[in-house]
Amino acid sequence: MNKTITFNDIVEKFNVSLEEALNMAIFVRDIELQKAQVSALSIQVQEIRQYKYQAIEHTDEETANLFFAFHNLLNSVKSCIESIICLKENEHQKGWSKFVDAEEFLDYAALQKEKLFGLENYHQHLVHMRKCLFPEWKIFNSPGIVESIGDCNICDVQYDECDHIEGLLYSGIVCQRINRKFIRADHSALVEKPKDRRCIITKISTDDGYMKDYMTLKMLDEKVKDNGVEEKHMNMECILMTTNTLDIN
Amino acid sequence: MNSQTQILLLPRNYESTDEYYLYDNTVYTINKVLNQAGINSAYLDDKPIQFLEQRAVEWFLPVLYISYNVLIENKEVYEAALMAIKEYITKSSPFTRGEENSVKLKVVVEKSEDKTTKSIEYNGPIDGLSDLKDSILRIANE
Repeated sequence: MNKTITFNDIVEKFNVSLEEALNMAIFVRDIELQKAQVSALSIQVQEIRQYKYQAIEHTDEETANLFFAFHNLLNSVKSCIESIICLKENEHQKGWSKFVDAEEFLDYAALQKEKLFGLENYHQHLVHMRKCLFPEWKIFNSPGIVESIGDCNICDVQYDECDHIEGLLYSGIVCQRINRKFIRADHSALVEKPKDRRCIITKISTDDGYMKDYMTLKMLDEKVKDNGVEEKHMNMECILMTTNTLDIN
Repeated sequence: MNSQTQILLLPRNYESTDEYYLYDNTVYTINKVLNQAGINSAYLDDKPIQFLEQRAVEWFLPVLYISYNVLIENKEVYEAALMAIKEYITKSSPFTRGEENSVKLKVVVEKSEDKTTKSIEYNGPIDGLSDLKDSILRIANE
């Protein structure tokens, strides 16, 4: 027998899922329990997306927008737990990247911040976690790229031909520019406030000619590459840009 | 600039002799924001094709060109434009980046009918966009 689920049931279920997930977003929790929580969250995110699509079908914009915030908030906590798992498994760089995912998913959930409780508390949890678990990055890479304008992800026409505005929420979907064509690289800069905080320095050279992991400070069994320059100089390896986009819609 | 245009959106290299104009990638977005606020804006060329994406948390906005007529007779147009841009940026800026969110904007004003221009550059917090109208008025009266 099919059971009808109401709007209130979905909200209640979301609140329970969120509370359980937040309880696992603490470093000391058991890693196997955290992995199980990540799996459960993947399913819960998909369920809420399905409810969102139903709301979109019924042209219920307000509900679709709320469910958009729900699945992005759950994805944020999921990424936060995944970040902790990565750190426990010595995958520090991936752990940082997952942590940035958690912050960015939260940014999208916050498009509905007036309808969500406890967002600032969760944000502060992430701030404290970043300060305790990761170094204070001073500089990041910030490339400048010349590109085409691309298409609107909502109506699939060239971005200049529709009324949707990038970054705003329309019936549970954030407008984004897709299919942008790379024309040429313009510049690369080291900046304090990058758009993508995944673009970090990963390795630097030491005075004795070896490379060192910039995050863990661990000496690596990797000699500095000889680039034919005789003067003393520092080598560094970094992430110039990332192409993975978050599954926010 | 046709007679209907109230604000012209200029490319970054509007003063150069480069083969192509290069616009900040926010140009179409700002055009939509202005149009939806009832302001008639347009580009320097028919259809911009190349855009610079700068992956920093700052908002790099297109250069705004305010004509003498708008400056003198339609002061509310550029005030409304600045408010519409501020409202959009406030709404869509990342929640977790707080005070890191900032704006870079250059405004060129036509000081007289003979097309003498003066410009002002703003680089600061989003809220400061509201006060820019006073600076525009000041350079117009210098």
